[in-house]
Amino acid sequence: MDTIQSIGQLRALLDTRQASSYEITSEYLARIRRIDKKLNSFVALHEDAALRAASAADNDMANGNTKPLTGVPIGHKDVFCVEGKRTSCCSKMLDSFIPPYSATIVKNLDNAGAICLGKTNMDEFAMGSSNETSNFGPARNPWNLDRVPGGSSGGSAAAVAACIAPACTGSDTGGSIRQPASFCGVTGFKPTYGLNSRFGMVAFASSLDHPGTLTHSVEDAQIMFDAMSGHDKHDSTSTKSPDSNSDSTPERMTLGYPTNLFCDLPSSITNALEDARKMLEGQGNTIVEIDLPHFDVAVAAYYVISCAEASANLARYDGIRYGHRSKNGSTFDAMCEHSRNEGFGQEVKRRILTGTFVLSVGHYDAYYVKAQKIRRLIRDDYLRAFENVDLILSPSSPTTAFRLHAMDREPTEMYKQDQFTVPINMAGLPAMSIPCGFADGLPVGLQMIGPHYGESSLFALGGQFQSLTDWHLKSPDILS
Amino acid sequence: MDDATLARLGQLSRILLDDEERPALLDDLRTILRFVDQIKSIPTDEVEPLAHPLDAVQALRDDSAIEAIERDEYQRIAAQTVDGFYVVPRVIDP
Repeated sequence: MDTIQSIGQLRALLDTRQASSYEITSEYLARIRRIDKKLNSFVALHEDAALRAASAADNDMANGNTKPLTGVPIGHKDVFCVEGKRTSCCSKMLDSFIPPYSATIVKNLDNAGAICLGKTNMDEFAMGSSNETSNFGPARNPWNLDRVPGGSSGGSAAAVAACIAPACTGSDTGGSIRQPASFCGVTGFKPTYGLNSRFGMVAFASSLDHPGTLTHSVEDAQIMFDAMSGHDKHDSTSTKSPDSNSDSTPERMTLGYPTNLFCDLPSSITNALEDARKMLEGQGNTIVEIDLPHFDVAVAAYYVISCAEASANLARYDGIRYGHRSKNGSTFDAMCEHSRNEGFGQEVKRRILTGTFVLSVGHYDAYYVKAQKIRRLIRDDYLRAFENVDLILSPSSPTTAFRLHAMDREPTEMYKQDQFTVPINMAGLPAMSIPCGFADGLPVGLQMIGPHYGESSLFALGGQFQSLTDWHLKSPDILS
Repeated sequence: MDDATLARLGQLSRILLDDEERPALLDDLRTILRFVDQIKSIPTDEVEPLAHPLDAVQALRDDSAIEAIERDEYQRIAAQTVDGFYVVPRVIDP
């Protein structure tokens, strides 16, 4: 089996009986055992269950019952509940949590025939941009083990990049799929808010949380999206795409390009971005300048809103119904306070305390309401831009993968990593990061942003770009 | 942001803050608040707050009773239960 195998290639191997699901799943498990000590991208392997499911998939295919993902192994970010399997969110708080049900997207992928290899590493409660806040220690970037894979879906991105999983799920609250995809040189996709159900995904900031995927290609992202999306009565914010708009995707698109946002970027990023722009322009797409006037305050407003929502969501961890319970504290209140002190890491505590501050009496209007007003201005900037363009281009991240501990000095340095991704979550737009070059041996990501329910256009332009380039076909030599 | 505010936030958040972690947390929170204070520079007097990114109508399920409580299964993952009740330390001081 070749090192890189897209879902489409695996499907062909399975359908033509050149390989069984048992053989393919065994190969991926063997790869994980061989190199993941270096990467730390998986925090749990479900070997027996995966091999049992692979045998069942082989029987299904022999009986002519083949679904889009039948027999294809994937990884799930540890933020998604998988029934009967530990779902820790890479936090001590949930270290012993065995969910009694599966997330809707996990069920949907199961129903489409996918096989779960195990759970992937992430920043604790998805709070981080480097995977360094994980209770299991950081995952590493397979292109350079001294560098971070990005975060929070760092384990998923590293696993796909290293070809030890053909595809993984991820979640994106402020860039947690697109930034690690950029750092690891894979395709990261999140749809319009609500198209992928959040039911069974451990909540961080509910109005910003988007489930999505990390894959080798745009084509694979579409296969995964088709399998995992759909209206879910268990998620009150679940939505349906108004209509299938694949027919309305123009062959040549008008692409917005906010050049004034790129002034302070290193040439390693802007050179790759410019090459991508020219290539897309060469295919008959039109590039137009756009202005996003409130871009500069998006990260600040995002941290007010996301911390506020996190402080409310994480209030549920009280040591009573599930999660870590301290042995200290002789009263109810003291037990709760000890449990939360022991169960949460430093970054999670910082965000809960910040969220509590911005929601507290005397600060609510000045911070939380103010940030929500800015959220409207940001969303309206994008809605206005999409009156004239089909999609928007930007970098996924202002840098390539940085060294471990490079951002330890102060938390806001890490927050600024998300400047190109958080405004998209504030507006609930679909977006993807695809590899568009290398700088000093590290991948660079191109972000494509669509209007609400503009997934078809994203898949079309991303597919066009990947038909003209081979950045997405490159893999680090960690397996060899 | 001072020691008293941090103590109050710890109380509201139900997080016991160790004495040794307080100084660093205080520094971090001051840095974070300085950073987010940027939002104050944007005029927003005529702007309505936005809580949800989509202009969507909330879908409601039928208002009918269903049996969905699987107490034994859900309590299996609790730290301590007795006869279907969660057991906690005392709530009221003697």
